[in-house]
Amino acid sequence: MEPSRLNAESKGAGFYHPGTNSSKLGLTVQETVMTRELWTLPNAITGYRFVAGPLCLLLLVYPFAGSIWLVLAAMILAEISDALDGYVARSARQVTKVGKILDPMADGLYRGSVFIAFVVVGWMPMWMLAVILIRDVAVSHLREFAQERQQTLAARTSGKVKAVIQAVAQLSIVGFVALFGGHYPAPFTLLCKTVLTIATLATAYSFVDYTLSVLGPRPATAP
Amino acid sequence: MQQALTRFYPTLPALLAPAAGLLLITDNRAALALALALTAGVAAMALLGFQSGSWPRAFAALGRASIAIFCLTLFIVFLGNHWLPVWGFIVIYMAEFIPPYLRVFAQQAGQPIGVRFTARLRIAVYLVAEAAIIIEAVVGGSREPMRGLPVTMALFWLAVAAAVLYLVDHVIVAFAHIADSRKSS
Repeated sequence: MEPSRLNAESKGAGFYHPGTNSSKLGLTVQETVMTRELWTLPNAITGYRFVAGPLCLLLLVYPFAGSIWLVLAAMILAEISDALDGYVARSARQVTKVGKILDPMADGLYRGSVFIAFVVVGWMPMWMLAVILIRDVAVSHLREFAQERQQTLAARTSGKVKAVIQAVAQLSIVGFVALFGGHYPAPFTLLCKTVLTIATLATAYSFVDYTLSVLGPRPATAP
Repeated sequence: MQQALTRFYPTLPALLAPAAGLLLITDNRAALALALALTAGVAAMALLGFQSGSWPRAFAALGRASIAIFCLTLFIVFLGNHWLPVWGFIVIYMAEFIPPYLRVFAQQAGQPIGVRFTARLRIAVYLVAEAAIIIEAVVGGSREPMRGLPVTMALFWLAVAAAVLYLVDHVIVAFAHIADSRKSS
């Protein structure tokens, strides 16, 4: 019998027992629920960023002729996927809890991977990476802490602004390297340093904003 | 006052992390030794916090996060010093970033995930690996300690394995809890 059919029939027949996830029947129900929520078009679009992060890292750390253009293309697609997944989810009415969790996870992993590659190839100082990665991990823990206090840490404007500035910084740096082949003039080097510094400052500000929203006098939104 | 201290205490490792990071980027053995002392101090705090249960429940989460941030900061500095293979670091970063989201997800579904053995194991292995790397830098005076003693490299890969175990454990448990909550409702 097919899993979906077994699932539907077992519910209808009234022999569906919660907590029996060790049984064959329980596993089927579990698989069906997860399959339905996980394998949607918006989640597939989000899933691209899980792949794009390591791909960009690989191409930046182990470059070959023309690989920088592949990185740029992969990064532009990643930014498009970031804008597209939410829109598709809302328009196709496929907004799921799994999707809401996958989106920030994919963002953090993708941008984190690219910044890690920047440090490894020497385009970015280590302290900036520390600020960016620690902010992402700390905010993910803050969400958990807020949840334990019966609060919901919703996405904040500072987080969205930070994401846009990070995207601009990453794309501009890779774009300059692609255009000038690593021999770009001094003003562009200065521009790269400037955009990275702005991205780091925006990240630090976002961290303070999220922290104050949970630990500060004004609590986060109640669920 | 005591309440303020109770709130402050769990965040101490995260506050010490930048200091430890700065000490690690110097070429000075005394500074490296001080960074080692800070790591040992955080390890002691972790032991006390987890074993005696001295942290209030809500602040235990903050304490766990704080220790994880301390460990991650050291790994970032090691990466910046070119002491670590980048792929190992990526795995550790993923293992630190993803599980809190899964825990929130499970909690929203009404099935919170308790403190897992794999979480404590990973912190213990991280701290041991980090201490070993710093000790090798202090004793050997090398700026590339991971290329010296094979035991240090083995401990680092053990830390990566602990990170993978922690991540996989959370993925399995979170999805099982969520599926259970759907069945119950």
